[in-house]
Order: sequence, then C-alpha cells, then structure tokens
Amino acid sequence: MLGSAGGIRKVFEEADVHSLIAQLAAVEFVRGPDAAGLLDDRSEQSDLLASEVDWQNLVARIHRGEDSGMEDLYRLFARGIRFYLCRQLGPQELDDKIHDTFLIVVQAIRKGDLREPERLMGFVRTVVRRQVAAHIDKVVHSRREELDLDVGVRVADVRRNPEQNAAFQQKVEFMVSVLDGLSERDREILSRFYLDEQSQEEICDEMDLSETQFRLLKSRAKARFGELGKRKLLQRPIGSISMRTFTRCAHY
Amino acid sequence: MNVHCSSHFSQDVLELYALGMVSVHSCSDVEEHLLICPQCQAQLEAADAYISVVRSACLLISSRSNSFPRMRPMLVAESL
Repeated sequence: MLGSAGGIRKVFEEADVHSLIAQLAAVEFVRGPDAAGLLDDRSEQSDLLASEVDWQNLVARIHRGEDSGMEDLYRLFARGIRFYLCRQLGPQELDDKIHDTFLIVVQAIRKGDLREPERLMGFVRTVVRRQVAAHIDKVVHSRREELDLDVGVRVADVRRNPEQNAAFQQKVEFMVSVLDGLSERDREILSRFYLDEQSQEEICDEMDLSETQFRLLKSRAKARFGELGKRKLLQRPIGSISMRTFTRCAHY
Repeated sequence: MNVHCSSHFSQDVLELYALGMVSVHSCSDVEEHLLICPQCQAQLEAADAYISVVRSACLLISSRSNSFPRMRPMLVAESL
C-alpha cells in the first residue's frame, strides 16, 4: 500500500501531489473563469459529469497514483469545493484551502482510507467541513489571543464594494415596494420566515395557514420582486446601473 | 455510477438549506450534491442573495414603523 512506504518515498509523493494540484489550479486560473458565462457553462458541465462519473474507477486510478485520476478528481470537485469554502469562509486564502483539501483527499485515497469508493462525495464533503471547522477554530483562537494581548480586534472586512452596495440597495428598495404592496398579515408571514427564521410549520400553525397558502405567498412575492426588478432595470439607460448579480463573494 | 446531478434539488429545498432549516440528513444530501452540481450552486447563490434582500427589506419596514427612527441606519448597516 502506498501509505506504508518509507519516509523519502512519502515526501516525494507529497511533493508530487502538491505539484500536480498546483498545475491543475494554474490551468483553471489561465482558462479564466468568465463570470458572465458561468451559469451556461455550469449546466453543460453538470450533464457531462452526471453521465461520466465512475467512482470505483476514479478512486482506483487515484489509488494507483495516476495523474488522470487526479485530474478527474479536480475537474469534478474544484468548483464545488471552492463554492463551499467561499460561501462558508469568504474569499481569503481560498486557493490554499482548496489545495489543502485536495491534498487530504488524495493522500487518504492513496493510503487506502476510503474503503467505499461510491462514498467519495460524502468523504470530500467531510474533509471540506473539517477544513471549515478547523479554520473557524483557528480564527477564534487567534482573536482570543489578540484580545489577551490587548492589541485590538481585527475583523475581516466582508462588506460589498460600492458598486455591489448600490445594486444591493436598489434590490432592497424593490423588495420594500413589493412588501408594501402586501397586507400586513402577509408581510408578517414573510418576515417570520426570512427574518425570524421560524419554520413553515410554526408559521402555519400560529397564523392558521395551510402549506399551500404559505408557499403561494412566498412564490408570489418572489415573482413580483423579479418582475419589478426587470421593469425598473429596463427603464434605466444602459450603463447607468450594474446588472451584475451580487453574491457574498465571487467564487471564481 | 452516481447520478446525483440528474436530480437537482428544488428552489424551496435550497432556500431552506440557505436558511439552515434542513435536517442533518437532508443537509448532507444537499451538500454532497452541491459539490458536483454547478446548476444547484447557482440556485443557492440566488437563494442567498434573495434572502439577504428580503431580510433587509423586512428590517427597513419594521424600523420604519417603530418609534425609534434613529435605529434605522444601524439596522440597515447590520444587514449589509
């Protein structure tokens, strides 16, 4: 088994894996993710992946140390891992975290730790979640130490840029006008769900609603928000407003 | 062969996931699927953005109707 090899061999393999992951990341970087065309690319890739994945074969190739196995693993999970990590932790040091995740996954497979290849997705998820937990733990500890040293607390700046802020504010205005058009009771239902994070069951129970009424109200508000947004954007001269969608952070 | 990508999660489920309202079991299913499904990743991004907008709008409306107008900028700033 590869994991039982001697120290020098192990170091060589780690360097090898590091190098290949770096190469794959570089290829992704050079290709240059095109944010505008991202949604179209995504659905195309999704269909391709669904028909091609053979977990047994993929894990076997990685276990044997074949570069093609590593490439397929990267192709399959790079975007998803990036998405998950960025959503949970923000864009700071994202590439390093992705690199570490792949390293852990590949080394575990090479050591034979993954006994059920068809559980690869679950295994990758577990590794990514542990990465997130470890990072949060590290941040909490470092902040605590900084507090002990009385050097002030540094908080990561997670605000949107001014352009994103303007787009966000405009969307909030649209939503306020949508909510203003609803009855007070309907507004309360949405507020309970989205703001107070009450469950659908709780809300339906407390406000004497059926599940259908609840779902209808939610979907109508969303549809109205979409319509209003489109109409307002069409009324404005092109270039006066950014039509880029905002997210908490760019994943690519 | 795994066929997770051929069965996407509904917008409702992704919205519940974004709000942290799915069960532990469902959460693992959703997250495993999200790892390899760019289409659902995009849907989840949209759900995150929508929730953020609705929350801010709800906060604005509730602060507009309360008797402490000075709190409004603070609430909005918190929601950003």
